[in-house]
Amino acid sequence: MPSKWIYFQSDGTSGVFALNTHRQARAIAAPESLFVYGGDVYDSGTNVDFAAFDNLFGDVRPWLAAIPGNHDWQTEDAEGYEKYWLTHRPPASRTSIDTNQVGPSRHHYPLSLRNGWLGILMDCGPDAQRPLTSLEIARFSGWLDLHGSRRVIVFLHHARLSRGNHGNNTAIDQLWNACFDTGGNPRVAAWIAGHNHNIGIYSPRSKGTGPAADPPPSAHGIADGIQIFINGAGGAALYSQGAGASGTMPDVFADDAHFGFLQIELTDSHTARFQNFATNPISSANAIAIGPLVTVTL
Amino acid sequence: MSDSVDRKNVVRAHITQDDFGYWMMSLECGDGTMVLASYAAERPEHEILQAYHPQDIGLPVATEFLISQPEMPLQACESGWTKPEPRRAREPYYIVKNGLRVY
Repeated sequence: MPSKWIYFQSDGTSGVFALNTHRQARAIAAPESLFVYGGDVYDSGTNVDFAAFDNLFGDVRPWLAAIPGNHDWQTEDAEGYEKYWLTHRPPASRTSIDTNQVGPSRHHYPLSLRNGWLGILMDCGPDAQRPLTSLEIARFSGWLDLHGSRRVIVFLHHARLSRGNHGNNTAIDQLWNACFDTGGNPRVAAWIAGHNHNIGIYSPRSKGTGPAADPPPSAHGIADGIQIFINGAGGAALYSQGAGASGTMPDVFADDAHFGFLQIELTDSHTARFQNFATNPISSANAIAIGPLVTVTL
Repeated sequence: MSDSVDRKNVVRAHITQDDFGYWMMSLECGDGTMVLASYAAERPEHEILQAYHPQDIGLPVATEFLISQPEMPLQACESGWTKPEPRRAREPYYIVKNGLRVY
């Protein structure tokens, strides 16, 4: 089966840097590649801000799946996000809103990534640090059960581990632990997020002991852990990962000097390959691979 | 710079432009230590928003934000830009503290 491709960009919707980052992702994308926008339509998720978003990402809208970020919640009830994506509901896009739900629950949805892989997109809510309710966890768990394998990638705005102006998202700890069964075996392959405007990769992590401590590195890599990828370098101001930053430093790869996006290749029903790209923010030059190619085979 | 800088010790944030005209924010601790927080912004609005909600990025509510007036245009340049060192706000600046413009 031919590979399926996904391009994840987050935290950049206006200005030259965001535009060139998107254009450079688009330039290397195969036809019918999926694009995932990881949240934050600047500055405040208003209808005007979404018009700018449309100018930038409208060219891939039929293949675009989005989740809200904290900036999208700066309007009441995420009004701008709701209006835009209800106007462009599938098949006009890949972004779903469940109108039977209320609040952030409206913005969680499963999405086929093809080649046997499932994406689950989760809304972290108004300040990106909201614990999920037991009902939300149950819906998430139900989607995992229905899929029946751990060939799952979770997309959200603020990950369990993250470093920069925003630290780790301890509020999302319940969701992290819901990604493991009672025996501690992972039920998903990876988490992908933005929020911190930089690039990071964490080694596969095990089920944690609660919000007070980081999920520890797993003993046997991806076999008993879930890998976390951060790429919030989509065009807004970059965030330092150095002295004074909050959160856990990525232990596989960290970069806070480039704008960029994350490419995901689903080669078949067993293997996914993750590669970050640094973009030239002020020209249409080609994006350059940065950091390691991470291959996940399940 | 120290690796053990705690944002709880930040007393001042400086929002200003780098040598290429890009906006950046540096944090100043009570002992004078300066660290870089954000940079390479085309516009200052996102950083200025933090001045009114400092707790969103882990800073004390009473952090004083010194915000420079725009002085230089962006100098689009394919090479030469590098991640800047932390720097203080360039005068003239205005001050936001406790969610209010105070100077």
